[in-house]
Formats: sequence, C-alpha cells, structure tokens
Amino acid sequence: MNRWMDVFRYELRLQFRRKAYVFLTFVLPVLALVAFFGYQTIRDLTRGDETETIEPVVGDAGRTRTTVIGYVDQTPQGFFPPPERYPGEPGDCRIAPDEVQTVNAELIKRVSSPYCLRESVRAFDSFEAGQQALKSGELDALYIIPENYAETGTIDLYIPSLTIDTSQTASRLIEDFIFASLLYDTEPEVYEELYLRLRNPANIHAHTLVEGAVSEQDEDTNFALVYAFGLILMMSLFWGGGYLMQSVVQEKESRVIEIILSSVRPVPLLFGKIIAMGLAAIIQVITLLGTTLYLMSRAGDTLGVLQGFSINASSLAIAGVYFVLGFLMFGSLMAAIGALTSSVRESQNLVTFVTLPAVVPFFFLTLFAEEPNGAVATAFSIIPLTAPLSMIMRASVTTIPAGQLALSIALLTLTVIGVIWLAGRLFRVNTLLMGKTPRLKDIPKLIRG
Amino acid sequence: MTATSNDCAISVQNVTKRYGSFTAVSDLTFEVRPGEIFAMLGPNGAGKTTTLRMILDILKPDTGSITVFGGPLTDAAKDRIGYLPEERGLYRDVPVLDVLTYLAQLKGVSHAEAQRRAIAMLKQVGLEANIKSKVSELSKGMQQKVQIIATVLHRPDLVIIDEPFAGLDPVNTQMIKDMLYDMNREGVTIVMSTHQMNHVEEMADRLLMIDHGHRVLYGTVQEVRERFAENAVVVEGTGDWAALPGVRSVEVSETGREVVLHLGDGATPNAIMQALAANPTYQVRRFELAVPSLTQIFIQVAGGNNHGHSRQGG
Repeated sequence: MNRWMDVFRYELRLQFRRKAYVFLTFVLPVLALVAFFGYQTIRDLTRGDETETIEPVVGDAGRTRTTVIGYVDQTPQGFFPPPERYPGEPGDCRIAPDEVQTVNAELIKRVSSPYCLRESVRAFDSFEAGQQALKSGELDALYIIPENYAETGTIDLYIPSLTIDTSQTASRLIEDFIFASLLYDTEPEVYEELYLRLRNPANIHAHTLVEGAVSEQDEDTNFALVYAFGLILMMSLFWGGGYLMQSVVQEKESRVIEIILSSVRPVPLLFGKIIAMGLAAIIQVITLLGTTLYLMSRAGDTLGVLQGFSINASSLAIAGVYFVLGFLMFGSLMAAIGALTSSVRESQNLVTFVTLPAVVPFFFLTLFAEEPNGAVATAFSIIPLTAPLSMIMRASVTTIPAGQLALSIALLTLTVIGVIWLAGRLFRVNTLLMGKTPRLKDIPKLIRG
Repeated sequence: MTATSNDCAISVQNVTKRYGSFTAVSDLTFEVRPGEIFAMLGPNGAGKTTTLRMILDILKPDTGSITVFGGPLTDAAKDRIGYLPEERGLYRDVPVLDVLTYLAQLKGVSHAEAQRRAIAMLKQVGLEANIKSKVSELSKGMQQKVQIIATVLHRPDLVIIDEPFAGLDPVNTQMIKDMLYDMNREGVTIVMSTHQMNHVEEMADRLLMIDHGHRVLYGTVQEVRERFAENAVVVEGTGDWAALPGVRSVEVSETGREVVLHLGDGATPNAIMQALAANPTYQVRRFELAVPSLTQIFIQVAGGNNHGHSRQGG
C-alpha cells in the first residue's frame, strides 16, 4: 500500500488542473459572491444618492404608479385623514418601506407615512363623489370605510371590473394606508415594529409531528434548500465519480496502465484514486454549498426572501456522512465500470445504469419539500442507491428519526462494503489489461477471478 | 554451468500459466544473469509478454517459481526494475515533466529528484523545448523517447523492454541502442523481448526462444549461430558460381542481385573467397557468411515442434 499516497497526490494535482473543476469549485463561487456584493454595493450607492436628493419627485418609488385608489372615511373618529394632510418631504418617499428594514426606525416611519401614498390614495367626502371618480376612470378601486370599522374591520370595495392584478395592488395600497394611518401617532420604534409586523402578519409554518420530533420550515425555503443541497451534493458525487471512472479508463485507453501496474498493485492504485477524487469532491461541496448557504442567508436580509432559513449542525453532519458513504458507493461503482470498459465513450454509456436510479429522488423534489417525513421520502432514504441524495435532501429541512437514520446508514454501509469488494475484484490485472470490454456473461467470471 | 537462483537477476523455474483451457506458458525454465543483455524471442502469441508480466508480478504463475534479484518480487525489488511494455502509452493530456515525475515517484524517487533527473534526461535526448508540452502534442518519435526516459529515470538495476524497437525509425533505433549499451556498461541487466533477430545478434549476450509457451532455444548468441549457421556464403557479382570448387549448389535470390552458394562437405568460406580472388573472371561486389534469418531459424527449430532440441541449450 506504500504507493497509494503518490497516486493520491498525483490524481489530486491533476484534478486541480482541470479547468472545469477549478471553474466550478473556485471561480463560480467567487463570481457569485462578487455579483452579489456588487449588486448590493451598487444598490446601496444608488440609495445613498437618492436619500440625499432633495428635489421634489413625482410618484413614489416602489409603488405602482398606475394604480390609484380612493376611499371614503365614514368612521366617526375620522381615523383616516387624506394623505396630503400628513407632514412630509417628497424626498422621504423615494424608498419603498420594504427596502429599509436594516435602516433606523425613524426612517421607516418617514418613508411609510401616509404622506408618501398621496399620489396613489385619494380621499373622497362621499360615496357618490368616489363613485363618480371610479366611473370616470380616475380610480382603479374605491374603498368605503364604514362607521363600525373599529368594531368589525370590514371595508367595502368597489371596482369597475374584476382584475386580479389591480385588486391585489389596490388591496396592498389600502392596507399600507390603513396601517400607516392607524399607527401614525405611535413612537418610531413601536411604529417600526408594528408596521412591519402588520404588513406581514403571519408566516405560515408547517408543523409535522413525527415520533416526537417536530420540524418547521417555510415551504418555499424548504424547496430552495432541498434543491440546493440535493443538486450540489449529487453534482459533486457524480463529477467526482465520473472523473474517477475517466481516470481509470484513460489509463487503460492510453495503455499507461501496464507501466503503472509494474510499480503499484491494483488495490493501492484504486485506493489512491478514490481518496483523491473524494477529497476533490468534498472541497467542491464545501465551496459550492458554503457559498450557496452564505448567499441564501444574506439574501434573506437583502432581498427579503428565504428569511428564517437555517441549517443546523446535525443536518450538516448527516449530509457529511451520506456524502462520504455516497461517494464511496458511486465512486467504487464508477471505478468498476472504468475497469471493465475500454474507452471513455463506452464507460459513459454504462454509467447511466448507476446515475439514473441515484437521481430518481429528484423527480419527487416537491414531495421532499412538502412531506420530508412522508412515505415516499422515507422509502427513498432507506434504499441504499437513492439514500445519499434522499437523506441529504430530507436532513436539510427536517429532523430525521434516529431509527430511520440508523437503518439507512447500516444498509448503505453494507452496500458500500459490497461495492468496494466488487470494485476490488474487478480492479485487477486481468480486467485492467483487457483490450476490450468483457461481455455481460463474462463479468461473474472476472469477479470470481 | 547453471548459476544458482541467488546469483541470477531473474530465475524462472518450471513456470506454467494458463488462461482457461489455453496454456500461454508451459513449464518454462530460464535464468538471466546480472549485467547481461538477454533477449527473448518468439512469434506473436508465443508467451513472451505473459512471461515478462509474471516476472514483474503483474500476473501470477499457476505453477513454478520466479525470483528476481535472488528473492520474491517485493515492492522494494520492483523499484529496481524499469519496465517498458509492448503496448505502451503515457497520459496524453498531462505535461511531459509531470508524467515522468509521477512514474519515477511510483518507483520511490522523491518529487524534486525525479523532476531534476527528468529535466536532465529530456535535455539529453533533445526534448528540452517540450518539458511543459502535453504528451499528446509530441510526435510519435518524441513520445517513444519519453517512454524510454520513464523506464530508466529511477536508475533501475534491471530493465525489461518488450519490443524496444517496434515502430522506431533508424535514428531513434540507434538512440535506444546506445542508451541500452550505456546502461549495460554501467552494470544494468537488460532483458528485451523481440522478434527482430538482427537486433538480438547485434546486442544480446544470450537468448531464449519460446513458441506456444515452450522453450525452444536457449543459450549464448554464439552458440545459436554455430548451431544454426548453414555452410554457405552470400555473394553479389558476376561469374560462373557453380564452377567454383566446393560449391554444392547455387541459389539465386528473389531479386536476382545476389546468390547463395551452398558449400559441400570440407569446403569453407575462406577457400571460396581465395578461389574468387585468384580468378579474374569473377567480379565480386559483396561476400559474406550466410546467416539464417529469424524466420529460417524459427522454422528450423520450432516448425517441426522440436521442443526437445531446445533443452540441449544453456
């Protein structure tokens, strides 16, 4: 076994020289980070310029200019004075409230003031006046806030015709106006807290009770996580395994294998290759997944999406274990295919028999996001060939019951041992020195030796 | 006199190798002495490559034993061997220097030392401009030079080359010969497998011929020549060859340019040469001993499955 280290070092060096590997592993994450921070910097700079501008503006940033709503305040308390009566500067309204979460409370109050809605929200003294404006096309929607609004919260909506786009925008406008008006007299800190909460009052979390374990994640976030975890890990597995296979086939095809075998025995050769390609794949996963998770967490702050997403240490540990076991299984299978075939093209045809079953869980991606502990996801995560991808996808969004985890790892470990044994049997001189791919019926004979 | 296996660079004793029902090597015994150039001869499929692979522990013999440097082939002993197989190649998309360094590292040479030696040897064979070139960018001749360098870069004590001159042009053939001679002068044992008799006659101290896995000829080159050289001379020129005293028959070559004079009992090539010199009616442009070609010897030795004959040798 004393030469496996030389094989390992050589194969690793070779991998780090592959343009595709370097691009995907190092350049792509750097580009993604540069693009993200570049976008953020440019946006911050643009925003900085705009807040300093004191020129009056026409229209409010971040809001639909084309939608104009009217309302009639019939409440005896007069809860909703016309927007233009509120104090404010036109420059305050250039930023939409959604974009200022990280800035101070006072600014939030300023930019979300009813004053900033003055171009989109118009007050009418009577229903008739409002109806007139609606009919003449000045308004897209008319809201009547009745006397008993404080008790019932009911508001009547009048629209010329039912259009989803307009009604959604109009609803948002009236809601924004109502929050801002009702909260206007509170302190900025309270205002910020209540305004932001009321605009997004309930993030629905799905809770599934499984053997006492509780999982909770936003479904959209789940989907993104499942997809990101599954895709990156599977890609790295297959790339690593593919390169391993290619490296074996190329040694056969270029006929350097006999020179190598005069110095190294087949098993240390296989061992050095698997460890090198495995390490290269792990490095790739770390850079890609690390960048993805980092950007997803930053995107939560910046773009207002994927908020509240988190990956705990146990999920990462499970992903790590399954990645290593998965690599050993797929890598050994691919090395065995490489040992059997005599050209890269032939090996690529054969490898489909390994990769296709392994990616089957991807076809059920929605199920993994919505029901990570459902029957389908659980079954896939127990079957060894689909377990690495399935368990990694499940672990990213839910807590896996210990019993399932133990059974799945035990089955996968047994399979890995079997596959390594198989690869070791095939990775022998007779097979490696064969000039042509053996027939299917000859393979058992080769395995027996 | 047979040397003991401890004195031998290689000792192959009663080795048999079968692939299913096909016997590739059958009860083969021979030895290679330290410091000699040893040739293995035989037609395609004779079992030469299988024998070499068994010596290198790439294949295991079914029966019999093989020792190298007086013992079984350990990893340390492998590091003392340079092997160039018949079907040879190199990593195509890797720079020449890296390929050479890696192959030397697999023989236990440190990375830095391997690089230093590789650069020096590439310069020696005129490939200094190609140190960073990928193997696929080199001509076939250049690749062969790199393959030879890869075989000897770790300074082996035993070099085993399967068909060393296959596909080489005369210039490269001579370069390889010179390299092998140089190494041999420094004490390196060289085993070459070939079917080109002229190279064997020129270079080898001893030879082994195998056919269908059996040893059919074994001994020094001189012994073989004496045993199989016919009492005949090859002459190119004009004259009445049949009239010369001592000539039993005259055989005209296919090209018609030369004739083979088969001599009768008691006649010698010397006597024929003197007769030709004494008679001005003969014009002689070339005169040499008729040495049998590999084909002729092979047909004579192995054509009749005369395996028993070989066991007289050595």
